[in-house]
Order: sequence, then C-alpha cells, then structure tokens
Amino acid sequence: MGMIQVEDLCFSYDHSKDVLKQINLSLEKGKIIVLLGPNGSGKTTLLKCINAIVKPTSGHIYVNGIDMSCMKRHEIAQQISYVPQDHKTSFPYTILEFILLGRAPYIGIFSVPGRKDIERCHEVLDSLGIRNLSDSLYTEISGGERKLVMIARALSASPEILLLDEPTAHLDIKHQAEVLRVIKTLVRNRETTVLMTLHDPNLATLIADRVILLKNGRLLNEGSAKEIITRDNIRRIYDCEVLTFAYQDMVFIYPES
Amino acid sequence: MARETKGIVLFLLYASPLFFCITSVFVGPYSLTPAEIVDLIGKRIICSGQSVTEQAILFDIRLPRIILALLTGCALSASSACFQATFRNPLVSEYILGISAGAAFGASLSIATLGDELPVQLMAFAGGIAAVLLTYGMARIRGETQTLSLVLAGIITNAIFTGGNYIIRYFAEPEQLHVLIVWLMGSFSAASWKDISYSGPFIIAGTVFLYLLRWRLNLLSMGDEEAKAFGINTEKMKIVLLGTATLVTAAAISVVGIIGWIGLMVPHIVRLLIGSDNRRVLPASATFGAALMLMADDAVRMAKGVELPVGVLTTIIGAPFFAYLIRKSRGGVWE
Repeated sequence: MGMIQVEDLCFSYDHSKDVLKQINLSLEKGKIIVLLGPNGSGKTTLLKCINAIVKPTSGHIYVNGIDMSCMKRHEIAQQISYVPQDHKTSFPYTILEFILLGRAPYIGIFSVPGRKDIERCHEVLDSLGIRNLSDSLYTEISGGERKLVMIARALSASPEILLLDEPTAHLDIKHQAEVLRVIKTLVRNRETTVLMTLHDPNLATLIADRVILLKNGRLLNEGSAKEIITRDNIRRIYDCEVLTFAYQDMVFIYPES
Repeated sequence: MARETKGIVLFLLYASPLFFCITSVFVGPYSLTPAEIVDLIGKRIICSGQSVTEQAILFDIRLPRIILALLTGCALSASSACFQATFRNPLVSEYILGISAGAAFGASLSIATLGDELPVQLMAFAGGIAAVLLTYGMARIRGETQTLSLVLAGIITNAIFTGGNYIIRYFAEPEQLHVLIVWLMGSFSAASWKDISYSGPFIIAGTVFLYLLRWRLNLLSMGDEEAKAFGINTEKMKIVLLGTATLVTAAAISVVGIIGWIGLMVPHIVRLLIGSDNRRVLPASATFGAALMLMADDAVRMAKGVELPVGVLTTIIGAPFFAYLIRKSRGGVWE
C-alpha cells in the first residue's frame, strides 16, 4: 500500500461533465511520480483532489491508510504540501513572511508563527541556497527565484508528500534544471514523495521514477519513463506526430514539423 | 528600510494616538491651559463641584469627542485592513460590501419617515448589516464565495441602497433633508458619552478579535486555493473576518455618519512605512487610524468661524494625498 492510495476517484465541477473518471493510483514513498497529459486532461484537478482543495464527487483517497474525508484540513496540510503553477501576488510580502505562511497547519487559529517556525524557514532557505533572499520582497525577485520560494514555502511545513503543478513552466532552461535538481535532492535526502505535472515529456524522462498518462480525465497508462514515453503513447495522448531519438539509455521526443 | 528605523516607525505608529490625545484636549474655542486641565481632572476625582462650565467643556464635550474620534478612526482603519487582505486588493475599503450605502439608507429612513420612533444609530446599524447580508447572499454560489462575486454583489448592493436613498430624499421635507445631508457628511460635533456607549463595545471587541486573527489575514491574502492548501477553512474564516469587520464599521458609521477615505488611506500608509505583514499592519492601522482621525477632527475644530463636518475634510485632503501615495509607492501595489 502506498503513502497515497486513490480509489475510483471521480470529479466534476458542476455534476455535468466528469473532469476525472475512475482514477486508481498509488504513490510509493520516496518516489518522483510525473503526471503527463494534454491541457485539460485533468492533471491539475487530480492534484487539487489529492490536496483536498476540491472534494471528489465519488471515490476515496487514503493518506497513509486513513480516508482523507475523515481527516481535518490542517491534518491533511501537515502531510501534503502544494506548489501551485501560478501565484498571483497581492501584497509585497518579504520572502521570510511569505515562506512562514507554509507553517500554517501547525499554528493555532489565534496564534502567530514563533521562533521555531522562523528557524524551520531559515533551514529550508539554506537547503535551497536562497537564504540571501530572506528580506527581499516577493514582488522584486525573478521568476526562477519565485518558483524556488514557492517550493520553500511548501517545504516549510515538512510535508511527507509534495504536489507540484508545472514546476518548470515559464522558466528558462537553467532554472528548469535548477528546480528539477532541487526536487531530486529533496526526494533523495528526505524520502519525500513527489507527485507533479509536467508539460514536457523529456523533463519527465530526466526525472521521473514513474510516469502516469492522463487523457480526458482517464488514466491511460503508467510505468517507468522508458516504458511509457514512447512514440506511440505520445502520439495517442497528445494527438501529435513526434520523432524520437535515443541518448545514453534514454529516449527523447520532439514534434515533427 | 533598516530594521532599527522600522522599529522606531512602528513604535511611533503605535504611540501616535496617545500624543494626539494629549494635544487634542487643548483644542477648541474655549482655551484651557495644562494647569487648568490637571486641576479639573483632580477636582473631578475628589468630586468638588467648582467651575461648572470648564468641567462641562472638558468632560462632556471635549473628552467624548476625542474618544469617539479615536474609536471611529480605529474602527474604519482596522476593518479596512481586514477587507483589503481578504479581498487581496489594497484599494478596497468599507464601501466594498455596501455597508456605507446600507447605513446611509437606514439613517435616511429613520430621519425622513420614522421620526423619533427608532433612533438613527440603530437604523443605520441595521441598514449596514442588512446590506452586507444581501451582498454575501448574492455572492454565495454552491457554498462558495468567490472574491470577485463579492465585489460585484457589493456594487449591486450599493446601487440598490443608493437608489432607495434617492427616493427617500426626493420625498423628504426640506428640514429633514438638511438633517439627512449633515448626517451623511459624518461629524463628531455632537459626540456624547451615549454615542460611545453604543459603538465603543462593538469597536473595541471587534478590533481585538481582528487583532487575534491578524496572521490569518496573510494566509487569506494568498487566495482561496492556496489558503485551503495551508489547511484553512476559507469559507468559515471569511465569514468570521468579514462579519467582524462589518460589525466594527457599522458600529462606527451608525453613530458618526459617513467619513470617507480614512479607511482606504490608513492601511496603505502603514504598509508603505512598515511593509505588508498584517501581524503589524492591522494593529498599526488601528492606532494610526485613530490618531489620524483625531488629527483631522482637531483641524476642523481649530477652524475659526464655521466648523466643517470632518467627513468633508478627510475627503478633500484624502483623495489627492492618496493619489500622491500610490504614485510614489513601489512593490506591486500598482501592478
């Protein structure tokens, strides 16, 4: 049994069209699992279900064997953290103020973060090598730094499971590599389990222990990157002709023009 | 800004009401010296009934006026800081949910049609609360209250109550109309201990409650989805915060009338000085708002000849000053 067990999960926003249909999957501890699928295939919605941001229409999600619908919101948040794809800034908080928010699941309703919470945030900033940003304003740092800060905020809660929605979107190639490196190190050192969505199958090849293919809200296929990211599968889920080439023992993909 | 400077600025913001409180005692057409005031307070304590006029000026006119101004400034600014964080928008104030329009409607109804049957304060308070309930009811769809729907519902509520207000004004007698217009222009000139006993408990209890929840404001300002991911019950939290801020605002304006711009401006100035963290913004807005309101009222009282309603002054000074502030500010406010 995995850390997270999803059984017969269905979800629809207004009971008309199902966004997720009969999803079954299990996430093993200490692995990086990548969700691949075209836009609108339900990847983000699946992450939101697992993080209890939206409620499944039917089916169950178990966290370490406990049915999530029986858990309190902050209990879920203590175990699962979420890094959304975009963060719309509202007020120019400092990075430390921003990252402290991740400690919310441990802080009582009438309390504020204390010394221990601040120490935890400094630890996380150090581990990501961005301690120097601590007093900068969120509005004044670069896109790549913002992504690291978002990850730091999620990590400040010391989660067992980290969900990331398109962590490499809008980043240049250097920052993409940086973010993937951070995620890899994280999983190796702390036995965190990572579930993330990606747009680029090649990044999945580089990082995933397991790849899950989603299309139209259905789980089509899952397995190792090597088994899953094939010309046929990619053509099938993206409706697009692609070419492949092999490098070392990995297969990479690019669209046929 | 260096950490030490920030600390000093924060201290000044917290201490500002005290300073203006002391200076405000001397402001007014009847001059009282510091020695006289100490003397009056001493006599009040030992209950010796001399110099009745001075006693009345200090204890029945100036003190209630000072306290009511402090309470009102605190209420409008603290609740606006709460509205701004919850709506994730630094340009939001007590008008956003229709409180002011509702309170104005309630007050008009009382002044123009009910006469003395129901006090203006009670009707204004009820009007403000009714307006917010209407806004919230309209915005709640399938158990969720999106921020944007709240803003739109607030605009509709404002329109409905403003329309109602126009009808009442059209049919009102001229002398009623005068009372009504003066009420709408918020003033402390008639401040009494009774007013304080009406609004004070709501304002103090509500502001303390908002202060306790100050860090939650940071969480809510991240938006519903992220706040939920932090383990927050966003729907409940919004009801509690907006409900408290509404009570506080309605309590203030139902007693003094509508005073614009203070609520919008104060949290903004505070954020420019000490940053965006609501752990400091909320209490500093409460204290600085109180001080600024008192300062504005002092300015009005010092004017020779005619005394303008303070609501007029805050609007005339507030609007251009605010324009100056937002053009000067950096860091995402005007993005």
